[in-house]
Amino acid sequence: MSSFQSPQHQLVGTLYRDHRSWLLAWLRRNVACPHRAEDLSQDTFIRLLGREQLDAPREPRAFLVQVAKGLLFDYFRRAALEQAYLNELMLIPEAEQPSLEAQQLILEDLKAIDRMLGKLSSKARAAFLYNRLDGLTHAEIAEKIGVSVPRVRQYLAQGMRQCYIALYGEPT
Amino acid sequence: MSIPTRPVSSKVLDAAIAWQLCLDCGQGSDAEREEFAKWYAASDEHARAWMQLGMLDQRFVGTTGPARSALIRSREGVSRQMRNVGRGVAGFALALGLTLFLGDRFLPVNYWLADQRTATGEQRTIRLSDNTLIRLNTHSALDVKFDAKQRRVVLQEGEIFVETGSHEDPRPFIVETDEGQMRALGTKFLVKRRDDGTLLSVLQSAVAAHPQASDNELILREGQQMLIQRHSLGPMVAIAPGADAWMRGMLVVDNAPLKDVIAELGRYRSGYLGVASDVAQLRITGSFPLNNTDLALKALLPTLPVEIEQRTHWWVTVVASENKQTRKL
Repeated sequence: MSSFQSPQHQLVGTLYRDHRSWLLAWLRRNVACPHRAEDLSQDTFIRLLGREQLDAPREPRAFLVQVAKGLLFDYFRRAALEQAYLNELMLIPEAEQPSLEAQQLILEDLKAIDRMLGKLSSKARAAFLYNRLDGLTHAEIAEKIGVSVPRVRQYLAQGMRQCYIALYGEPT
Repeated sequence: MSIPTRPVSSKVLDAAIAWQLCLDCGQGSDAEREEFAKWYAASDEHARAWMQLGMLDQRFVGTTGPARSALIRSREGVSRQMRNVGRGVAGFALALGLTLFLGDRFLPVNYWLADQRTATGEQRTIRLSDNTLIRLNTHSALDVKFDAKQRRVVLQEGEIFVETGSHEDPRPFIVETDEGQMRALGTKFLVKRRDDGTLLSVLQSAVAAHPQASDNELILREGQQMLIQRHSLGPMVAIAPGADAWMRGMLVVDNAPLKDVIAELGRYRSGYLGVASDVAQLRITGSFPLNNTDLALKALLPTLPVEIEQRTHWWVTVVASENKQTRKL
């Protein structure tokens, strides 16, 4: 079997063997749910397998932590979105709340939008959302997030470009 | 009409975005509109870019109400949370509860600028001219009255943590309320205004307490707590565990009646927060995030037979849960 493995697979295999339990312990310190920590440690190695190029890291643990942090950030973001949505639902009467299935669909939709806006800075993201969701004018957004109007336009342009790419692919 | 999904060129996309921003800003003049119509008609690719951009809004159509707010708010705290990574702050909910307090403002304050106030839900740390550190809890008000003879701080409302500064300063350091005076003997302590008096909790060293309308004076040592009333001093008892947990953004209670917990949470949120009398005496143990009282209320649900009746964000009552009650019977 191993003779069919690429050097990359071998490298990930070595990292896995030598550092997996250490990484898991690190993740457990940062994530409350042990199952989630387990998933994230697996995902870290899976992500490495998916890399086009992988050189043997000089500091394997620092390197693994760096990859794991990226995944952790995504996880926190998703969890925060979910939590924020549940918190918002608490604020409306139960009779007006969408059904559980509908809530799931809305959450999926929110996660998709969140991913779409993933690369925007937090100010650009806020500017774009205020514009799209609330229809605020450029001047109103500028006031709200404390930047100049031309900067708001820059943010909105970034947002549109980002969404465009997510929906239609990179412009040619 | 279906929209072709093939991406346009980068240049055309930029032009389309520029047009959308121009027309969106509401100042699009007739000349500009005419100019835009020309651009739009000039090539299929222009038209395609415009329609594709227009489709973006479709993605946001369903995002109203709670979904909208969630999307706008969800990033709050995530970056702070990431900063904690590696420091071993275990627990997502815990981190969420603490995050608000990590970005502490630290205001150097001169004593002549008295009248320090915090809003509901706010906490703030100030440093006085003698280096004394005072942390104001939610909805608290404080006057600083330093003069040649003494360093006097008047707690008008709310709750403070005091860590006295310079031990070389010969002037006594005194915290005063309507009910009593507390003289610090080189120390850390908490003072809280309550309906029934002033609660003094000594965390380190000692504090001398005496009521406003009596000559009685008692010295409290580390770990002791006492209710001070205008005419008398209450019994000395051990500090309740978690008395200072608010400084870490948590409410910690041990076998406390639900009505006390709700009253405490109510200090951290605006509007009415009440509890129905038939569940007011239920006992609860646990810790709750103070910066997100909605979350704290939700944390009651799995452990107690209660539910949260929410008319508006400003009017919330904890009532007996019908389902769980019947199950209990």
